[in-house]
Amino acid sequence: MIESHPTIEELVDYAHGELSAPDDAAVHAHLAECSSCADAHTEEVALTQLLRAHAGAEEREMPVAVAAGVREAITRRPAFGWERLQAALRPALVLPVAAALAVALYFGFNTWRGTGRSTPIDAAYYIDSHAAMAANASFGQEAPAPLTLTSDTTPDETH
Amino acid sequence: MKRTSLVVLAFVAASLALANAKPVHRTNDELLVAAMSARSSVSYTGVVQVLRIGNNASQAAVYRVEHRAPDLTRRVYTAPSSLSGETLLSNGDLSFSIDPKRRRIVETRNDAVEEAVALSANLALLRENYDVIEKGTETFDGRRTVDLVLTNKHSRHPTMLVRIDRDSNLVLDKEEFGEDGSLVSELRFEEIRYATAIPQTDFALPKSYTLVRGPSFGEPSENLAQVVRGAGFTAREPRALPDGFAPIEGNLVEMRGVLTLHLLYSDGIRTVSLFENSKASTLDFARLAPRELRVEGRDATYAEDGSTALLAWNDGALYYTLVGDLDLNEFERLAASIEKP
Repeated sequence: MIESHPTIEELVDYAHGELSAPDDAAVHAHLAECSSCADAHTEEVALTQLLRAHAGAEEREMPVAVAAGVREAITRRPAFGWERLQAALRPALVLPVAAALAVALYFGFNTWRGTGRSTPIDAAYYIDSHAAMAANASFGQEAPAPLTLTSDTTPDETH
Repeated sequence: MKRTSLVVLAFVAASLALANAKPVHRTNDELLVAAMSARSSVSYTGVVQVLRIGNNASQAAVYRVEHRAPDLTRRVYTAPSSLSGETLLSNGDLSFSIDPKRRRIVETRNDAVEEAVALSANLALLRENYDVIEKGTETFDGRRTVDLVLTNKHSRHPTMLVRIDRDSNLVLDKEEFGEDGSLVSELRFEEIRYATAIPQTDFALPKSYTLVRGPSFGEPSENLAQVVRGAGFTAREPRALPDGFAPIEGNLVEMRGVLTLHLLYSDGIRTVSLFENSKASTLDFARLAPRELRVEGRDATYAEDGSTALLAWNDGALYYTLVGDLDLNEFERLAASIEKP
């Protein structure tokens, strides 16, 4: 268990499975004990899922003109001022950026609203606690263990 | 010596005595007691298949198991693919989930496992609420079994069928049924071999893995009144339980910083938990595909996880969650019986 709170970068890396094994274990243990970090982690996972869903919904074939445009951009000299701004405001760039900003504003607003918000509790907490206490039920000797085994698809499985 | 230890010894002694005796004249009740405590005295290896059938989704798992009596067990999952290769070691009240993908071990403590008094209470409830009827004998996976049907005395519905190995008293197959007679879960032991000794090294934890402390489930108390008093808020209890159900145990747990009262009720086979807390909390159902409904004029959420269901709502003062193997109608009746604020 780490003594200090993980940074937001560490939480992001943890959510994406990019930490080293000892760091991953330390953050995992910390999240089980620290509700504020667990909240931040939950929001990061939600944001990632939202962006993935958005990207999936918007996914389409790359227009032929884009590839040609890239080749042309590589060969021509750097553009100046207004031309650069025009290029940056093309829909292909503006839409994803706007989506990311909207998501960031949404979560930022929720965070800013502060402590009046209700605490999200994973339903698995209740199911696991029930299974743990009911382990002595008759013939319950092979009942599920009081934890969910880990897998790649559920990165935050053991609470 | 602790009372729990005495009860464990009594169970072991009873099971040993029954195992050594000629199995011809045992009553159904004696066979039941022997089956419930067989794992305390029999070591074995085998393959276990678990199937839990829900209305929306079902779950299945297959694992190889090594059990060294009385309480050392290792399971290695072979299916589903997401769990393949993962291992669960349990030693009494401690469990270790070994995750080779992340090279870590998650340790969980469940003090309820050693509550042998609760086991004894469950047996008393089971005798009170279920008729135990011998269905006959048959051969299951090459072993001769005695089949017992446990029929609920209140509903007259068969609730469970157990196939008990005549030689070892182990339950080789367990089927549970819903109110309508449909199969809701099955656990099958296959390729079972009884072992006189399984090496201790088979239960060793990998040394190069990081050990992480996972959730800890404290020792529950049978003194529910005392647990309720310690909640720090005015807890409310159900006025009417499903037929044959009785309060079993309770404790106070902290979930994400929210102090929560946990009360367990059982009829000897089926169980239901009531969770209450006074702090605003919302339930994250993740992959459970919840649906919205109304309970006592309040918004509620219902979800199923295999054969286990969950109903959550609040009455403006407290936040409630029911978890167990009851159907939705039973959940709704139980929720309706909880005292109003």
